Amino acid sequence: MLIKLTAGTVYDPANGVDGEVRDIYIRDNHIVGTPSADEKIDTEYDLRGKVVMAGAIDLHTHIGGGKVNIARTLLPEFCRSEPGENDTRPRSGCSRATPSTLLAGYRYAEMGYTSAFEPAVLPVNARQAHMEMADTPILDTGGYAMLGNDDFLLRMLSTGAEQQLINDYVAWILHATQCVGIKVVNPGGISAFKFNQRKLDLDETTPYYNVTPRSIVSRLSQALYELGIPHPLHVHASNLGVPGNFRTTLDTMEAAAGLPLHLTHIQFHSYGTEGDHRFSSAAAEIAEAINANHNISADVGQIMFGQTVTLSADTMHQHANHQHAHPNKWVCTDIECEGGCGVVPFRYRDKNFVNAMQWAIGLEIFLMVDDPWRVFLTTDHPNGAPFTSYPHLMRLLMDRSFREEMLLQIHPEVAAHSRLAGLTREYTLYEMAIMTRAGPARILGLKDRGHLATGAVADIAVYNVDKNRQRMFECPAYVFKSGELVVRDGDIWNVVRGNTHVVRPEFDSGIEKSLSDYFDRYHSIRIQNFRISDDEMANHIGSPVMVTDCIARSNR
Amino acid sequence: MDTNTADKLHHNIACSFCGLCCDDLTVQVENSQLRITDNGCDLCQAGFSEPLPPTAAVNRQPQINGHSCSLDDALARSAGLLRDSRQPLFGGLGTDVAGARATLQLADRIGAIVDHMNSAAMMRNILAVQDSGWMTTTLTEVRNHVDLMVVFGNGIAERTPRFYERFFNNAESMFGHDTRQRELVLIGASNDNELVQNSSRITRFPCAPEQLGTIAMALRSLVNGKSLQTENIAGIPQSQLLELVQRLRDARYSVVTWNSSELDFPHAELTVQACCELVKDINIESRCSALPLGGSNGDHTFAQVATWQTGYASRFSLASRKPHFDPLLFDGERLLSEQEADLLLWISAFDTRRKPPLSAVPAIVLGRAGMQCETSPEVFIPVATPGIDHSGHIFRCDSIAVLPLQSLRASGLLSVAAILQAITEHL
Ligand code: SF4
Ligand SMILES: [Zn+2]
Repeated sequence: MLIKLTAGTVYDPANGVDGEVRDIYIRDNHIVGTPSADEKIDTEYDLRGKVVMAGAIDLHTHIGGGKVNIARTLLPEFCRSEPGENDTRPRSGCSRATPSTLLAGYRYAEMGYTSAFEPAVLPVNARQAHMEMADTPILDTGGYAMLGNDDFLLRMLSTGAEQQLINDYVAWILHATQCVGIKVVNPGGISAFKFNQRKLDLDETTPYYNVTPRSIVSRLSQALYELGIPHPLHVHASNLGVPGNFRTTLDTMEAAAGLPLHLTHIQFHSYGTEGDHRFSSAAAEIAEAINANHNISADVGQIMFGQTVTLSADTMHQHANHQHAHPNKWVCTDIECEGGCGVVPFRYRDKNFVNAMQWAIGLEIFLMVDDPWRVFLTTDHPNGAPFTSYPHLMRLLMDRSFREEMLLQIHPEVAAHSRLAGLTREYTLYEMAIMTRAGPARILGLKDRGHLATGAVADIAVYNVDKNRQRMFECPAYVFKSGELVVRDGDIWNVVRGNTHVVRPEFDSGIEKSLSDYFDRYHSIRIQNFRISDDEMANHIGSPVMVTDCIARSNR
Repeated sequence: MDTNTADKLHHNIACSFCGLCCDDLTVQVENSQLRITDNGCDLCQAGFSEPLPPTAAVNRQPQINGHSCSLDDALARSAGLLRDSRQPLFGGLGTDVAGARATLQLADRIGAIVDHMNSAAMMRNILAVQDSGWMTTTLTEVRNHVDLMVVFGNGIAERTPRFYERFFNNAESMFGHDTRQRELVLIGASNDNELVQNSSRITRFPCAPEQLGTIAMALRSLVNGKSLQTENIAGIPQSQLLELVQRLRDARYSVVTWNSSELDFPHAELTVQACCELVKDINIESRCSALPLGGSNGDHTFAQVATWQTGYASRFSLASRKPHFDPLLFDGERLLSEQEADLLLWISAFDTRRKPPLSAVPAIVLGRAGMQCETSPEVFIPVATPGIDHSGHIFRCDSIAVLPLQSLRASGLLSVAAILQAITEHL
């Protein structure tokens, strides 16, 4: 099958292509070079006047694993009105903030997304996360396994284990859980909450283990660096949502000591304490630090006004925030001496000063971080807003006058207390393609995604040009997944199944012996049943694995 | 997965016969007959060792109206009944992850109402969560952290037989606690104390199930520093409840548990909710978690898969191109007795005793081979049992761990997923 995409205007930053009119050829699943003149083109799409980009990649979105199901169970009202009765998608589904898996897949594809990564995979719950992602059609997926509140790692740190052993454990977890990266959430804090501690700063020690969050971040980032895992340690820093937390965030950057570090939903970690409300924007300090430290990347976790639900492994802070629950109901769970989960529904209000500032802080970070390769477009779905608000967010970033119009509608003090009004930057299509395609592919080590050169997987989104960027990104003319047309004029055309990205770092399997004994003594599952095999992924879970290379480095 | 099905010993096998999903079993296979030789309990021994009927037996054959037929005929007849049905009900639903996925795909295609056989018990917890949420914990957490365990109801030993052995009387904890010092409080008509090996202190507050909620609410008031106007609460002196409240406050990590399947009285969800609100309020100062126990016949499995695919665990309809949940309207037993459904597809792959409720509604039954229905359904198709005849996955009662199930023998029977797939192809 040979497809020709004729004369589209191509934005392909990974290959330095900035709005050039080009033809693209697809053979089966991949992009190929210009075929010889005698080869028959099976299908041709006339893309004159249309914008062509690689399929978009969301590197942080909560679309799989137990916490979303907890939110779905807690909030049946989210399902009642959404979508409408006349929905014509292939399988039924419901909810915007907690979409059922099939609907999530359709909706992502309908915006031109072809890959999404679940950032909070609890190792013990990894099967469920992969099952849900396998039931999220069209998208390729991947997960980041959560460490840093698990007894085994904290125990190793507290007994001064050598870095090599930590590396082996991290590598083993990646294999066993079929994940592509490692995330740490409120390092040590979720464990501390189980010992009834309600607050943990970066340099405080955890109960029982006596280790600091700083050491957890530095040892884990060291492990990922030495194992050669492409994606840096994905950090949900300490003190989520706490006014004044920007200092913790800056200190966390420092804890990486120059090693790559990704700070997630950094908007929630960029708060100062100035002004009458004791709540202010520290976006400038945070953006300055990102600009100065090339080892640091971040996704924003933009909030949007309206009803959503916050889901986080950070039980310490979710429990503290439960009095803000709207509607007034919430769930917190301690999980398997490994992590936790807190689900608190929330309505962001544009006339509420703090919420309106959160909105402004997120946009400030987007606009003040100079390098679009190191900042990523997320709403931390659904924590800041459902992922379906991405086109609106794109318009806010690409259209200054629209942004200023919006700023006038929210709490009046925000304009005075943030720099947003003075930020004239408008993201270009090229920068948007970096932030949502080339950048995520690069930071995940995905060599054949996020770009449109020969050899890339044919994940392609084609948009009609529209000055209203929201309308443009809401409704692609065509979306191809692995060379198959899946969306036409914004509607699902054809459904394909995705695969799972994984990494396979090398490690000394001697670690399995101590782990096996440890599982038998303390856990409720045998190690043999904990590990997920490739056969399970392909034949039972339903999402075969695709391996991204790791190149081990000697320690620094 | 280990698919070697020759006669032998299989280790680290997971059990699907209650919500604990113990995965430390050793299973011996001899001529397709299974026996648990290590770990396990009576419940699982019965589940695993139930003999496979001889190949020629009627209840190992597909049947139409009680007469043996070819599988193809049974599939074609099933497809015809489903096609002609105006309001099909999918009930039973005792199956694994693959079976649940196949069930939902077919239900979505033909617009069925979906209700698991254990949904009455499930709804007691779900309605409480939908109304106010909860704070819970999971089995490994309990095994290592618990120092005070409060059991509401008739005890948990009968329906989750190895709970105390594995999670309360375990020899050692991660944190070096002396597990023999653990304290147990039994509120209700429980004899669990006879099973507990080494608790330093067992306190019993006998009461009727209907009084459990009153006691939980009284405890909650006392936790919040309110005094009660009465000396006795459900026959228990207030002073004793006050003492329990103090113990809950002082505990490092207390756990409150119940099994919703035995709270079989009207509005039992309010009792569950009272327990949950008690737990939440203890957490204002100290740590305490709820542990909803129970589960059988793949109920947690079905609930999880259905929740991620449709938003709802059970008692929902897919008739209108959009999942619609109604715990009263879509109660399967009600739909059958009122004949609001005109066809029942009943699935019970784990348990031959869980047969379709007697009703005038015609039924297609996918039952564990050996099931003997009281009256012959329109179609009966014997199915393989997950974790015995085929590999698969099952969710544990804390809905956190998903255990792999193995194929332990070659019975030649097809899985629920395979049969539903084949029926779909006949549609
Ligand atoms: S306690 Fe439950 S899961 Fe464990 S062996 Fe017995 S029936 Fe099986
Ligand atoms: Zn997140």
